[in-house]
Amino acid sequence: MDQLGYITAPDGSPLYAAYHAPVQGSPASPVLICAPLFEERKSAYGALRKLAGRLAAAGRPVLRFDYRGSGESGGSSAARRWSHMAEDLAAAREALTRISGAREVVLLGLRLGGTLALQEALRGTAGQARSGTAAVIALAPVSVGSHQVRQWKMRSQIRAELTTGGGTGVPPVAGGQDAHATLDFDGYDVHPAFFDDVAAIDLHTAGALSCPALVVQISHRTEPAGDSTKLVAALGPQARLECLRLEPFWEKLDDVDTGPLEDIVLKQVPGF
Amino acid sequence: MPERVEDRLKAMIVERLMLKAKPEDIGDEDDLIKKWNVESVQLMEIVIGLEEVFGIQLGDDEFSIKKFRTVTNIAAVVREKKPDA
Repeated sequence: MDQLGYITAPDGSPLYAAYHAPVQGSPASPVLICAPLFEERKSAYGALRKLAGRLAAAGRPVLRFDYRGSGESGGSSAARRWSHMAEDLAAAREALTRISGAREVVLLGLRLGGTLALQEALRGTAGQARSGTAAVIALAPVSVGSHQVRQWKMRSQIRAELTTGGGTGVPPVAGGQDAHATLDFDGYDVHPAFFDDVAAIDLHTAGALSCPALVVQISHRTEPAGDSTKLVAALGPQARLECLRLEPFWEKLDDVDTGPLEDIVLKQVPGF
Repeated sequence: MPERVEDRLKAMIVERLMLKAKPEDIGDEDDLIKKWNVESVQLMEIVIGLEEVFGIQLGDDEFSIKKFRTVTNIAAVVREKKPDA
């Protein structure tokens, strides 16, 4: 059963959180789930909730949460910067360790949530900030932010063309705009600098992890793509890659059977 | 005989979009959105596929749905960018 509630972000925003209590008592590290953003969050909501339920059934305390300005959380998406998401993750981690009594958590993130989880673990590695990451599971993480921003831009253009039939105008997603304006991205108000924040991400050069990590490539292919290979090589010897042939469920309106992904995570997580 | 660009595109589309169809089921002039229920984000996957399979890079202002609505139209983009394809 989910226990729903709110935790508080450093700026005072209430962050929606759902705690899945472990079905059996277990000393195993709890799992903090980091969701993706925008439409991907909506499309992946059911899959991540189901995964949380299976992890809890396997004895893991699990916490899901929404970043400020996202989902059921308070705060404004128009004011959100990438650094705020890291702060929100830290607040959720603190809540999970408090509830579970554990000192370390497994960070599990999808898409930009996976990117955030990896960055968080890397920060711990460099001793710059928080430690306490037992392991990371990154599902289809975005490793090069500029590629993601380009895809957002294209997607924005596609949406505009489909809705107006035109194809005119500058796609709303682009850096360098008036710092005081907000941008409409798929119906979400976004701070223009947020796209610059994301474009600056490059996990290929971020350094090696000091905790175990599983990166799951989710795509039409069963062999590693160049991007995945580069990422895992950059993350160092503690990182491992699994390739899963599965539709990108975070892009689909229809239900996709994510059972095979859950099986990979459930198989891996006892080692963490 | 070299494979037609259109046929390579169909194989790429079926594989990357994981369509439940055979490449030969797709007609050159089929509207991919209407007939094959290709969603907007999947058109982006086709653009990425062009980059990976054909080595074609599209500029940010070169994309339009019209160019990606049918295999014939996508093939025209390929031939324009890579005449020897």
